[in-house]
Amino acid sequence: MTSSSSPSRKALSKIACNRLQKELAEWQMSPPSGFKYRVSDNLQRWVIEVTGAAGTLYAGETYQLQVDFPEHYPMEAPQVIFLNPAPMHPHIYSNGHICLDILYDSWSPAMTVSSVCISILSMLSSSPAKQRPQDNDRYVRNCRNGRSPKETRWWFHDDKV
Amino acid sequence: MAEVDTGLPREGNGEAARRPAAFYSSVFAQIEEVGWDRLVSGKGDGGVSCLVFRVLDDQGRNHLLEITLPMNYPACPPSLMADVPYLPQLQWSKSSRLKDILCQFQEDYWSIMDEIDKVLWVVNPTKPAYAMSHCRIALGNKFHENLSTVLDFALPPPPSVNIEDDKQIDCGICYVKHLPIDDELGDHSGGTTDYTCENPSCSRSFHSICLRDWLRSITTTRQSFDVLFGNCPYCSEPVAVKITDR
Repeated sequence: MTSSSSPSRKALSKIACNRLQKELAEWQMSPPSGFKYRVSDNLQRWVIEVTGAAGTLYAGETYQLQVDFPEHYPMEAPQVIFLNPAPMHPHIYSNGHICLDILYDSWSPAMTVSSVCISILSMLSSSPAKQRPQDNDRYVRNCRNGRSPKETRWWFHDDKV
Repeated sequence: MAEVDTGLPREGNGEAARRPAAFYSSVFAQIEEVGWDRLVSGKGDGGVSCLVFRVLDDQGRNHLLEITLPMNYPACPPSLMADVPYLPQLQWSKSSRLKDILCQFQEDYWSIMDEIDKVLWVVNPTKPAYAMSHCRIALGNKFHENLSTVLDFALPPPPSVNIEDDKQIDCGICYVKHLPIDDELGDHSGGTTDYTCENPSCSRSFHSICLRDWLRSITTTRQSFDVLFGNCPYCSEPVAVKITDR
């Protein structure tokens, strides 16, 4: 598993630092429901616990998201992956990489960790079946050197799930 | 007894009410049980319908307990008044006597307030009455930090800096009003938001330098001479920013 993969760990810029501190304060004031921030002193890597919504395939199951912020956040998207074990989902690879456009091409600084989390939970909630993506084995093999999902050229073909 | 009766009228009763002689002898006997030395004063109906007793608490302080005897005493319970934060419900039966009231009049409340007076810095009241169950204490500098730690919860800031206001002033990208003081930012160092989205239903504020950095980081942005054309990150309406030299 490449769950420890991380982008080049350059320290956060002043702007990124200020913004993340504000996001964290806002999160602590009103955390998105279903998510729990695991308190740490590392502003650059957040570990977030997500609980599957009631009435969905993942009801009551708990998974962990790891969010790594690049030096120039929010000009660049954060890297968001599931820690092992990743939920079985047609858009989530067994190495934790998530095929979700807002994490890559469709990122915008108008988004926040909180809004990204909500998108991921809604992606889980609308899953029709607990299964891996068709190309899971090939993709995971190609990522074996700890490649970040942000280096993948994603092909977003399914906007139903 | 009848000779010393001053016959004060009862509340809401126009004429002086008279009590049977047995009432007086019974009350006198009951005072005897408590001890005449503890009786501070007596008023009405020959000095027996409103009695004030001295009560010593376990800290050696004197409290005054005022007992008013109703016309149909002891069938009805007497009413009590004292300098206390609250009075417990009186346990009363027909055979109860004055000494039973004094027994029930026990308060450990004052010791709590005394403890606060002793241990903490009470700002006011400086001379609290026994009935006062509130006081203002000095909190020191680190109080809100300690409180946050105890509650394990960040206390919300004053409402004047709520999110709605932030949106008006703070940059929609870096979330602050003032850019950091940084030589790398050149003239923009420490600057305030200087660009507003022209879409009236958005009107989001930005630092032009933040918007420029964002537009430069995506491939859909087009450049014409020294102007970058792209979309507002919030409403996707077209925006244009000049590339100023660093």
